[in-house]
Amino acid sequence: MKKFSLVLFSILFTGLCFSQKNYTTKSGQIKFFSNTAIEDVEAINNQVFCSINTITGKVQFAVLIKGFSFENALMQKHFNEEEYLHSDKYPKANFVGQIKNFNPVIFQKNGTYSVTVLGNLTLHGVTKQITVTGTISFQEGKVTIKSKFNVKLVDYKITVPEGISNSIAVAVDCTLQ
Amino acid sequence: MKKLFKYGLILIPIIIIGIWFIVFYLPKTEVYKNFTVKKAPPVTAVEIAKDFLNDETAAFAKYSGKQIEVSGEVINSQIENGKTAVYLKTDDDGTQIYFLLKDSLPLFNLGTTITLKGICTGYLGDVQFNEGEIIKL
Repeated sequence: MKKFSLVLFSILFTGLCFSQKNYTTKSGQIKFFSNTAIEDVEAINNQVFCSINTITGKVQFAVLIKGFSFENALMQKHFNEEEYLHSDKYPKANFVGQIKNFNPVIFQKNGTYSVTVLGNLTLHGVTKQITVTGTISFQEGKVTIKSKFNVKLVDYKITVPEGISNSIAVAVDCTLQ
Repeated sequence: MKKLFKYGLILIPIIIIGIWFIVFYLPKTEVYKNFTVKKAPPVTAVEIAKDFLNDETAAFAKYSGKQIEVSGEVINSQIENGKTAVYLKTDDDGTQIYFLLKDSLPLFNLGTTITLKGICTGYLGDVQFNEGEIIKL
């Protein structure tokens, strides 16, 4: 009986392992943008870690703050300084969320699906719950996640530089395999 | 008075162009980046990975934001977001040195030993570098 239970458990566990899949990438892209009266603030990070679980609908993003590149090197220096993102103390930002009303079928049929993700964004040492909308495309075994949302700097205790609006527009674009 | 007006006509545009050059143009140039980026001594891929795996905080303080030459064996090379990415082998199976080069270059043969230069941005499963350039192939 004991042997039977063990075999049954092994079969069930193996089945669970094979049916569960994490799509991941290390080369996702996050851009942010804010326009000011003097000069637009725009940065890009092309080394974003992203994963999505096709069974649970859990989504994760992680990014290194120093990995954001600006066209203006002086602006990049200020961005990393203590007054703003303080990247020496808070080197990473991450988001862990769950797709609302998740249906695993979206990872079985080619197509583009609108999704809403509820999760926690940690930035500058502050964690806040946010809701973001976007699309998930499933095409020939590849998953592409796209989303655009605004981040309020004061919510994350980030000093708002003079002339810059309180919220910045963030665009996420990740292709996972 | 006339003289002052004459000199003013010449000086004011020069001052305006000078401010524009220093504040807006110069920070976008490579010259400015090369002058302002701090440098750290050259390391091997194995050494830098070991440092991050032993004590991430100490390694971050030692390497992050600095331009470093790293040599190691190419374990993977691919085009990512229009640029060439190079992954160097370390002694840890789960950790690689991940360079994103400035430009799109032909992919490197796996197993080749190369030296790259780039700015270390920290550790996120791999030790990440951007603004990468080839030093020795």
